[in-house]
Amino acid sequence: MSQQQISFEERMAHSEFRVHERAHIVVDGKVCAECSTTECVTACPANLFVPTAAGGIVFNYEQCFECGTCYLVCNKEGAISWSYPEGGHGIVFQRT
Amino acid sequence: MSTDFDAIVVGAGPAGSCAAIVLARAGKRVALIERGPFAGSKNMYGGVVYPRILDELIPNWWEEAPIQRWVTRRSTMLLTDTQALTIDFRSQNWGAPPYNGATAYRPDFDAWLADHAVAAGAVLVTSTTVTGLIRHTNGAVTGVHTDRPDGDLTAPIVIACDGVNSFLAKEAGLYPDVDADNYTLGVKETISLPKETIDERFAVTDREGVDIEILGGTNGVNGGGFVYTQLDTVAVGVVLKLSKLAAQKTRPEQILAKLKAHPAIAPLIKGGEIKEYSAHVIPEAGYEMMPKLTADGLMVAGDAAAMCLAAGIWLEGVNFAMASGMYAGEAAVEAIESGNCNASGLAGYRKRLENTFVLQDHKKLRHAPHLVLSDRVQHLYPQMVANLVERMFTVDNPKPKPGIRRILKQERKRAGVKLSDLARDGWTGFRSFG
Amino acid sequence: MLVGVCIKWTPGRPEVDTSGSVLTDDRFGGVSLADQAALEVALSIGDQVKVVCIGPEAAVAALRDSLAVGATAVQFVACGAQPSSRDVAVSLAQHLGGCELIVCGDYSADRGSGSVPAFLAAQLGASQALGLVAVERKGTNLECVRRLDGGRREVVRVAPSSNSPAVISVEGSVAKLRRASLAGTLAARSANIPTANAGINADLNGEITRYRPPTRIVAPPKGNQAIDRIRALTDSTAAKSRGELVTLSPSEAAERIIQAMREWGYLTS
Repeated sequence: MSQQQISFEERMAHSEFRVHERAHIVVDGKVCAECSTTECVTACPANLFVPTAAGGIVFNYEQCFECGTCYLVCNKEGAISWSYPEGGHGIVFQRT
Repeated sequence: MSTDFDAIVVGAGPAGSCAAIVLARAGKRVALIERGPFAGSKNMYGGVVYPRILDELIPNWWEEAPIQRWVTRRSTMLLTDTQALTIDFRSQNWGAPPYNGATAYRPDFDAWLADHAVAAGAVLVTSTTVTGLIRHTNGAVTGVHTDRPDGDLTAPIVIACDGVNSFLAKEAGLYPDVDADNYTLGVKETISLPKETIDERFAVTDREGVDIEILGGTNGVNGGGFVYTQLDTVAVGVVLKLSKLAAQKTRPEQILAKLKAHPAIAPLIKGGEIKEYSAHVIPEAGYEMMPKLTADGLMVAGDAAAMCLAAGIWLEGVNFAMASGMYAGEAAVEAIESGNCNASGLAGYRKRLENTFVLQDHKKLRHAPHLVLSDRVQHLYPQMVANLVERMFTVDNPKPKPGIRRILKQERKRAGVKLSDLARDGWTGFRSFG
Repeated sequence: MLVGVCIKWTPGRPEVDTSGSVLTDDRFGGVSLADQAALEVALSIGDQVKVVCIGPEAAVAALRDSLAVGATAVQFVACGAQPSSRDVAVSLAQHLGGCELIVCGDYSADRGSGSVPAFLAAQLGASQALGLVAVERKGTNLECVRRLDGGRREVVRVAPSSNSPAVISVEGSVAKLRRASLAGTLAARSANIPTANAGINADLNGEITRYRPPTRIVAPPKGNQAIDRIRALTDSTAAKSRGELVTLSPSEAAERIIQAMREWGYLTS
């Protein structure tokens, strides 16, 4: 299989995420419903933000690289609350 | 007042571990708190570290550091969709002690540095996230809250080496505001290939390695790319200006995939298997975005203080982190011994940074990051230069060879570059890099 | 009550390199969720909890973690080999003296057979309740729920005492291990970890071979049409079941099971 054709799931499957039961990303659905630019959907390298047909944003936190891109690109004050997951959880890099 | 420690260092990356090494060797009780399960587990970077600053802390560090390859070939590559212009430099001097640049995996390198802190007597606590600062009623920082039960820890000095997102520096009000324009996103793939294949494709042997920095090839998003060799993997990545990435509606991994498919890059990684995909944010704007570096009882170092140098031809960060951590450690020792841990007692930190490459390089190159990421440097100049070179070397007999000055003029016009802009950017570049 | 806990540390991120050997990374190692649950059960039941771990040097990290969450004693048993479950049980038993109850995880992170608890019970002469999905303390007894086939459950009452210890093994869902306090974590960093040598040098007894079901001789199917012959081979309703229902005492039943496995070719000795 050529390099470009790997699926996003395959891409992410090589990273280890120790998922905590509590989400460290919280999104304010009301603010997102009003958002037309959805920067987070484009920019999140882990593709955690998915627009819904109803105009909102569904988010995941499990495969988060904890990079901070989402809250930095989001220009809607307070739409994305973001902190680090509990110690010992989240992404664990190996060859980076 | 009795405290749990003399100093608390938050984050066991290169800045934190160097600070802890200095403090512990001076006989201070120092806690080094890391939120990952081991030091380096949250860290990712462009791929080259310049460890000479360690000469002081760990003599002959090259004999024990977990280095993958020593960079003996450095290429700067300019990419358009169909063209590539490479300036390639090789020096065997960089392949022998004391070396120059090296590739290393951060989970290895950072863990190695943290081991030195532990060996010096620092108390490394992993899997523990610092959630906030403890402050005296007068505002001075006196410790940290962690996310462990009964997790408060006190010390007269806290050194925040908590990375680019530094919630501690923000909580202390050291960052005026956070502007996405000052940050870039780095994504990379670690691709495995047999060592012999890498040696052959990159024309190196043994532990020699290659560092390729790329301007262009980022699908029109302001930024750049890189290719680095490790022993049996190749790292390929792109660095993307956050504000432009968000506006463009092309996802980071798609931009990376496009770079990997470029005719100048694809043969280097052909047949390789992806081992890891990773991402991290970079404080790209350097000096222009730096926070206040000290407050009462608090110092900020490394990426947390935006000490990453992203100045086009120079892309460094780990060395600035190690140096700033080391100087923060020295200033902390001074403050503890003088009994003044307020900002005035910690003034030695900034002084040290100003007297060394840390702030001197940053000050000198303060305009470079914005220049390198500007629309002209990103979108107009590469095409102009590539076309110029292409025409110089295209032999289209029976036409005679054209004069270079005339091609330059024609290509400048074709690219839509104003002479005044070219002169201004040239001057900015000359002032920064000259 | 002194409760013993047995945990197994395994290295993480196994990869097969080009030469075919398996590479692992100790930094990604750890114990299974089941072992974590076992420790939590022990901490919630016992006044004193002793954690024993057999394995490579890196496994000491798991014992420090155990101390950090509140284990009162730990024992590391160094063993570089890949011992058999029986050898592990024999070695563990030497360090579990005085424990009224021993809690194990039902499975290890490296997909082991989960048989150590049974061997351990045999070694200690203890009663056993294995593969539990719930453990509740009722006075001095434990009321446990065990998973059976077909979605059925069995409630088992365990009454451990000093002269009649019990071994239980739990699934990972039984309890979530508490988070270690900061003070506990700091103390565990420098705690002395008693170390013994397992004295096991032998890897798994016997030859390790790939598992293959025993060959069955199938008579050529009857039928003139191909479809009839295929049906004869594949139609489950036509297949003869080898099962039989017997009612026997436990020891006789065990004998019968072993005999059947020999007849069917699953056991060769």
